[in-house]
Amino acid sequence: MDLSFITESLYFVKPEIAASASIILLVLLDLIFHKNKTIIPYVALAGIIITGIFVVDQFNISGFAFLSTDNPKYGMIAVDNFGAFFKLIIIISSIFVVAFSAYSDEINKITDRLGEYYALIFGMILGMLVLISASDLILIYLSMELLSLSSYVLAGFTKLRDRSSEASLKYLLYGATSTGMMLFGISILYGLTGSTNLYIISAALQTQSLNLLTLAFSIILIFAGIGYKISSAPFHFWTPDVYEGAPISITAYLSVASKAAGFALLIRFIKTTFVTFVDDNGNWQLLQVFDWESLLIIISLLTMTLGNFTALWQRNLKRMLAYSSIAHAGYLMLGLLVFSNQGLIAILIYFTIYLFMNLGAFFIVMVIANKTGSEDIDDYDGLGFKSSFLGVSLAIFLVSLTGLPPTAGFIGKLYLFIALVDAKMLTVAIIALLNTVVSLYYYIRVLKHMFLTSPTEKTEKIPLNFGQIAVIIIMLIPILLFGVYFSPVVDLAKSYITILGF
Amino acid sequence: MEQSALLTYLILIPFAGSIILFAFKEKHAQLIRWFGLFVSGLAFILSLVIYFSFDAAKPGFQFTHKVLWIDSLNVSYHVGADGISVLLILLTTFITPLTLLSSWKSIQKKVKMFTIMMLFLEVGMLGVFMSLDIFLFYIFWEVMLIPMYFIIGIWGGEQRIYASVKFFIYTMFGSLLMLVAIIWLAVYASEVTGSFTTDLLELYKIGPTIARDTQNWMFLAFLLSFAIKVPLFPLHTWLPDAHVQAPTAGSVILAGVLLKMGTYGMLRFNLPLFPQSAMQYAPFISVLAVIGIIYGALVAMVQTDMKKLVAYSSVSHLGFVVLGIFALTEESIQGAVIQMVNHGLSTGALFLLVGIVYERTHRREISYYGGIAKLVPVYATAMMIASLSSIGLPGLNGFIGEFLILLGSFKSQSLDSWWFVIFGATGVIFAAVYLLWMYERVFFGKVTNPKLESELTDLNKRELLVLIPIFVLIVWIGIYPSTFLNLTEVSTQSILQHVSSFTINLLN
Amino acid sequence: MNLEIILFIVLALVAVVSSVAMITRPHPVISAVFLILNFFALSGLYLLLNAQFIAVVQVIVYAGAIMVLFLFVLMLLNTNKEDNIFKQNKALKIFAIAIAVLIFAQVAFLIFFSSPSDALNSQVAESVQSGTIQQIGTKLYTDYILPFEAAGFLLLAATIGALVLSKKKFE
Repeated sequence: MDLSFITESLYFVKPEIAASASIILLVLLDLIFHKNKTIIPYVALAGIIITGIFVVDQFNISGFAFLSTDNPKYGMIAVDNFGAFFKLIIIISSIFVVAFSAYSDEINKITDRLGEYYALIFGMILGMLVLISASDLILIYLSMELLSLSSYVLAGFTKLRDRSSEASLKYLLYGATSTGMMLFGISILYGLTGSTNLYIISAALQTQSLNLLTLAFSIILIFAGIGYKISSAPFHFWTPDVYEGAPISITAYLSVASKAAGFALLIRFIKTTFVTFVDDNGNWQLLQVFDWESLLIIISLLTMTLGNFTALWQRNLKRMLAYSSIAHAGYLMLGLLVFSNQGLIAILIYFTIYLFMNLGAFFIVMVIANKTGSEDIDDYDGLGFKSSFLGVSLAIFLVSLTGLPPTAGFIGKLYLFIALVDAKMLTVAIIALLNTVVSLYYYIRVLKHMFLTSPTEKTEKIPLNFGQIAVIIIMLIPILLFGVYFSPVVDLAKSYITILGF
Repeated sequence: MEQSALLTYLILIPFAGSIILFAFKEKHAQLIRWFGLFVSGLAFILSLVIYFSFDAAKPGFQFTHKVLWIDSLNVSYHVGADGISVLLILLTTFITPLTLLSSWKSIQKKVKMFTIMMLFLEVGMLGVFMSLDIFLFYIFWEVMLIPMYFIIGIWGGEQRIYASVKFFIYTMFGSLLMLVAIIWLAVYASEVTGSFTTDLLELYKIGPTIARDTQNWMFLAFLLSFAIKVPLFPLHTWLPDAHVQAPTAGSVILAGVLLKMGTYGMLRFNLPLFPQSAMQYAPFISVLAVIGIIYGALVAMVQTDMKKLVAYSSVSHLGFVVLGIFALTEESIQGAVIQMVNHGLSTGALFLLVGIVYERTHRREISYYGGIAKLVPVYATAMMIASLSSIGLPGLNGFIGEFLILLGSFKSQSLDSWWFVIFGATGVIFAAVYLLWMYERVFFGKVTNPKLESELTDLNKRELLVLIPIFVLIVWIGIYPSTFLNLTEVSTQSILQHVSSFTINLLN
Repeated sequence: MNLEIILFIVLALVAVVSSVAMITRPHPVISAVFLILNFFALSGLYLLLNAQFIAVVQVIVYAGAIMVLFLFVLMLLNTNKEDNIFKQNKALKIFAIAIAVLIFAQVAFLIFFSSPSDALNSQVAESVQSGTIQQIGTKLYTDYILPFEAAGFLLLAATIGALVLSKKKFE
């Protein structure tokens, strides 16, 4: 039996191999350096950087890996630029999360557990890397479980806090239900088409006449699993509790990386399975088997409206950012529901910017919580003057999340709206804009507490060390720079949109 | 095209100034004040240079500076000025140092941030008046929101937080609809010409070719954004709150320049981009403008708070400006432009004067005062000049603007009715009533409140230094308006020619 | 009526009755025992479908390992009777019934009306072949090597996670 195709495939999965090796290395090192674990974060960082180098190396390399012996045209994994982009997002946010963890008091309290902590983070990384390029439903399911399982544990990592355990359990229950639903959907789709490979399913959908109602049922079930990952309505109920209860470094990670992986999966699933071809103007021609457009419009508008309106009443900043990240999932879906390359570019741009602004906001909340032990909005009174660097930086991140010029958040929204207007979806665009106005209210409420309210006796100056300032500045630069000169991001996004087709 | 970086330098001066200010120490308040004044004064001098080298006889934009900014969207940094822009740029750079000077004593906390915010605001305002790229315009338009939010929110009165949030959300709501319209225009341009463009001069050619029903929607989206800023009745409810709560400097900037951005936007965008819709909606908007004139005046009449009275008088005065713009005649538009300046000067002066007594007594109620003319004669004279200018007494600036607007509306073909003029003119009478009545209650008669004798002191040198330049201009415009009318004549004509070339068949 | 159909009816009846009994018994230990019975009936059904490997795994893993663990925990915790949450919340009961009916209708629809793919109608002989351990092993180590590895890391993550969560104190 010729097994050379497996060894040849290894060429395509170098990042995944690096991540896997890092997991094992971390577990071993944890045993060896039993007493002093200061080395662990550096090893983790090195692992992420090596993985990242392999990801960058994958740019403009495309092809199928782990081909099936029955149908050697397609494989388990589709390596393409689109995947490389999202992997890059994962890598960058992972680097930041290591930095977060280094400065997080919550994590520093549990130094003897650092080995497990980073091993599980790598579990998430591996799950996400595989999820992004998987083109087979079985692999999608397994990598999603790997991602979820690691994140359940991480969400409850600081068991000392009650909320953390609650978060973990809630996350687990919601996760088990939705992945269960997804598995049910996958089994029906398999029954209908006779394959778990997305490309073969797509071919089957084009040639065979199927029972459309059954197909719709299976798609909705699969969407439940994906929707849970990107925390879109109505699968978003876990988000606020988990985000509030988990350690902030993990919350930040979930809100960016995990969401990016979910979006990559959603886009690849739709693009590969349901799009027949892309015309000269970059519009995707959908198969007439399922009304994706209506589903996504409803879900997207529902997600952003629920997220924004619920955020209005939050007093805990972490919880508010959780709802805001739900709303941002809604905005991101706008780029998908136009089904065009223009929309895809908008999503990639938005994600690049979202990465920095959301992580930045979480980082500052964490630094403040380290000192004050609270994320309550009232404890931010007058903070803008007591610790002006933190206050101004947080203000910039929040203004960017609102989408006001001259910050990069505006550029992200701008491209989404250009895509919408291009697709003649003015009503959707206007509803999304009204949502932005609503979001303005709760973002500037934080500004109000920081700058317009006078400091109370409780307000203290937050000490910052050099490293923390450096991390904040590294995240601030793109937000301010891309706000006024965004050609680099746009060019980057344009060069990364190819999804492996037929 | 010939490039001139003068306008770019003009923007860069306050911008660089505010960046440098970050390096200052908070405790050197006096140094910060002087530096802010120096920077804004420098900007004023440069704008004078621009004014003197501006050739009023040439149509089109001068001092244009165009640099390709974003390749993929074909957005460029494109600035330039015609007569109207030059006038408003002058107004901006003129008012800013005066407001900084006026807040010398009244702003005591966080002076550094205040000065930074004022300079940032100046950058935004100047940018709005000189952008020739619609995308650039939008960025400057939005950039001003944040400094203004802080100016009202940090240094304002008791209800400052409510007022600042209301101001922010109102303006943001309007401008987001404008954003959709801007994107729509750019996408439309890409369908017509094959390339995405946000250049205003290009869009001037494309805009009028849009199908009428879509054009109407675009027009309304832009109009809503500008009408909120102006503010046009019934979107004015944020204005009294913002004005009353803002610190004096904020009120002066708000009345003096920020509100003008709305009317400037109508003139620069709504008319030339969508001439057919502008013609169609002109009577409708003029009705709102006239309602605003009368409503603002009537509400001002019953105010017990001096600052609120001046705030509502703004609603009334800007109704005149909007009426002038949508009457679509040369006289009325020239009048509207000169009235924008007038309102900036006279209402700015009124706010300053109210602020001056407030600084001394911390009371703004009319009933608190009485007979203070004897206590502070210089102040009383200054208030008299400002009030008469605001009323529109012949010989002072207000008369020129209002007269031209009413004359133009009378001749207007787009309105085609005398009623606008008749109702508009009653606004002038009401203005006389509420201002003079307020004046009588505050200044004449016996001193009603014995506390005032100890509290009130007359204008000091610094305050006179702030007010005298304003009064010089008030008299200048009133006696010899040609200086300014010549500046805007050709620009107004070219806008009108552009509009009428597309709407000539609509009138018959 | 051949033996296969008779066996199917018997096993299916056992499966249905035991699962109904499982959810209606108030005592959790008895419920668990019924669940084991249900697993056995299911594995019989798998055998009828020529899926030997799954049948064996079903018995060893589910009926054997997992359920024993389950029973062990239940007895340790010594819970005699569970509280009936539906008694307190009527709306929840109606909702649960509605969902159950909906899913039942959907599955019934799937069985009777939807057309399964042609690719799956293989011959009996072939299906006997594909169910063998050797066949599954070959597939796992060639076509499905990557999912297999992913499953391996999934287990590793689960082990680490279990360790983290079960350890009592950090300091």
